[in-house]
Amino acid sequence: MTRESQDQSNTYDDEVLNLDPNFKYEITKQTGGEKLLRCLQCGTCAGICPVFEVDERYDPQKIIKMALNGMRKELLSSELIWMCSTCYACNEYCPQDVMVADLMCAIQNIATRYGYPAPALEDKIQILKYHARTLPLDNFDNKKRLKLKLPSIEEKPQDITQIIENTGIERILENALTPVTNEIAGAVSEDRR
Amino acid sequence: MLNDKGVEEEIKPDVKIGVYVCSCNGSFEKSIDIEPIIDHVRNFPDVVKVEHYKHLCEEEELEQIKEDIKNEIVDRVVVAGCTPSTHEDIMGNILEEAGLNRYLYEHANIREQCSWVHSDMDAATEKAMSIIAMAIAKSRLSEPLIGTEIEIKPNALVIGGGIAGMQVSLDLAQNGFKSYLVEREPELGGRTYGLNTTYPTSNCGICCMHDCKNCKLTPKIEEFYNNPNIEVLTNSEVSKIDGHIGNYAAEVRNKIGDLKKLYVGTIIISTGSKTFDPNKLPEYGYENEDVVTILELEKLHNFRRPSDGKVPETVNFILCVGSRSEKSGNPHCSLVCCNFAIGQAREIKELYPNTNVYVHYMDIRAAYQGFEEFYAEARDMGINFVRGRVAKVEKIGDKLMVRAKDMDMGILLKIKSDLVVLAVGQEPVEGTGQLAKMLNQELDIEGFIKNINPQYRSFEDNGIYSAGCVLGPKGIRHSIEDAKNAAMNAGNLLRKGRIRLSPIKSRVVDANCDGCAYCIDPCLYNALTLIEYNRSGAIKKTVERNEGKCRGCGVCAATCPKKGIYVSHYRPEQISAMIDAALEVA
Repeated sequence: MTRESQDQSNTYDDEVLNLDPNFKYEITKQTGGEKLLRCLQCGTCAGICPVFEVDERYDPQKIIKMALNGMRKELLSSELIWMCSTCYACNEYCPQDVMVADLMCAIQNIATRYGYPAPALEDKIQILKYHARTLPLDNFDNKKRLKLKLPSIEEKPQDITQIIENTGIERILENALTPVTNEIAGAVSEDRR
Repeated sequence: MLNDKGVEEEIKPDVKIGVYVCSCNGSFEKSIDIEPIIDHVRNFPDVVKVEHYKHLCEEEELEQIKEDIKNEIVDRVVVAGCTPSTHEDIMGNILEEAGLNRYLYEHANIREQCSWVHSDMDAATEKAMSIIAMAIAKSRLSEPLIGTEIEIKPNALVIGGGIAGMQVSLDLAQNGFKSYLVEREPELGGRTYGLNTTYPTSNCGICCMHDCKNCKLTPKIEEFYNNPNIEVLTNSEVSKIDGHIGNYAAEVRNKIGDLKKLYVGTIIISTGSKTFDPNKLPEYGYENEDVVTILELEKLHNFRRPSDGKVPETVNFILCVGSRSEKSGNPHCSLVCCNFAIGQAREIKELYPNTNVYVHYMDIRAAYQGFEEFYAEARDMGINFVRGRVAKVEKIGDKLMVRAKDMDMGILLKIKSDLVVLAVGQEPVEGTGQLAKMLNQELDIEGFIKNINPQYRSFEDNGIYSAGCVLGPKGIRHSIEDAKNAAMNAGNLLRKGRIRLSPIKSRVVDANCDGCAYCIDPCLYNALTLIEYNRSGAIKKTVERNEGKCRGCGVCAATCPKKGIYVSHYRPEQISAMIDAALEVA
């Protein structure tokens, strides 16, 4: 097995947890995740994180530890990875320059590719694509503007539609790989080697 | 070969080369095919013997080489195997024991430079052949060399009068060698001099529990000023150093501007380190009065708050401030801060049992002897050890809020604190770089003087030793061990009185040198000077080489456009032969 040959230092019971020792290398190959292996697990990121302050379920240090442990399925399918507010405080404070916020983005990208997109991501993309806004305009808005003697506005989403198409995000979502099972995780690692 | 008149002479060497290939306990055989190499090398001209050994480092097999030399089967030896940096000297000794000059030996590195780094067997085998062919080509033209003997001046210059420098001087003095101890500050003792207590032994930095600045009765200081073999030069800095092993001339200038010239045989660098400046980490709020470093806490009267003099109800210690952090440029562990901070936490707890003491740590490095017990006792005393690095210290009213994750609980702690203590680490002190440049010492990636693995240090090239924190962060105990080690090495050199220099030095061919002086600037060791002399009525310019300073690096030979200077043992015709050999095989 590739998993055993690549990383023998892992002494977790990986049959029970489905640990994938190559997951950390998958992340380091993703833009933003390059510095994952520098982490000393000091907890500074969690200590400064405003999300952790209000909801202790979102713990960046624990997420990094899960990534290092190879808890691929647990991490990618977790909704917690989407709770990052991208305030970049962790990037600023991390003593090892792990770039935690960028790392979260890398993990989110991998999750999306493997069929675990952010909740309601598809709807959000559709709204953005066809309205060029996160909240669509309707008559109500223009009536309010009229009362204030402001000219009415109309949606001109063409440019944004083009940009969204160019990003290829829809294709990624359509062709998302089936949610990760142990076999696929193994196959992917094999492929990447 | 260039003769004295600078004319190329055809030389037809009459040599018998023995090639001994070692496969390092069979470890090469995975990537190099040894047998075809042996067969190939056998056909080389002047090669009279080719042998394959599994472990050449074993006595029996080395004896075989000695036998071959003694029986006059071979008179040049080429060994292909491991690296010359560890084994060239050892092989040289073998040759000398067998009665052959050690410079008739060539080392072909087919381990680090070939088998360990290549996986393609055919290509690696071909490369190994090239490497061995080059060594044979060089060996064919090698000649016996003998170095010049020079005198060693029986005294030492110790730069930096901290605990390490003082110990070096004392040890040298005890062995009867005079040393000059140069210290930038007005007092000896460095950082240890100001310390009230060191842990876990609870001794003071130098001796007692009182303010050491005014104390002249401490044993070491006393021993010092009364020792005829030690000349202390405080308030002074080394401004210039010239010379070479056994004979250095140093200029020492004091604060008033007086200049003193010292002539010494060896130099010991013990300039120490400095503590990290916590202003570089604004998140720890060092601008607040009640945020202090461990060294400032030492000087606080009864550990009271600096702002209002009250007994602190809550104290937070933060470890690894400026250590173990890529961002602050110090990825190293500073070794002493855990120990020191825990000792201080214990003292606070002993003095004020009701005070709540937290120690925020990433990992506790309890590496000194007796320290794990000291740490365990601190836990017993009721000091709270919290795993997790502190993210931020904020001022709220007259209190400080320490914000950190408790990693064992997975929760965020916000601790209202009266006093925050930063366990600052060590980093290279200003001037280490200039001093290293002046003395041609290598620096490591962080700016400390590079620590040479003592296991492999066998040849004296410059007679300069280092001790203490200038080599990297360490505590008093390890600095003193370092100092004793350096003093022993320096003492061994001084005791010899005379040493033989390596004969691998540059040689000027006066007939070819026209004094263009191209070689003078590139020389890293200032070994070359331009001179003029009267040759049959006309002024002739030429270059003079200082044998002690020259390290035989070959920069001058590479610069010279006129074959006016070369390095013995690496003569141009030897290098050409090696290049030819490399191209032939390929």
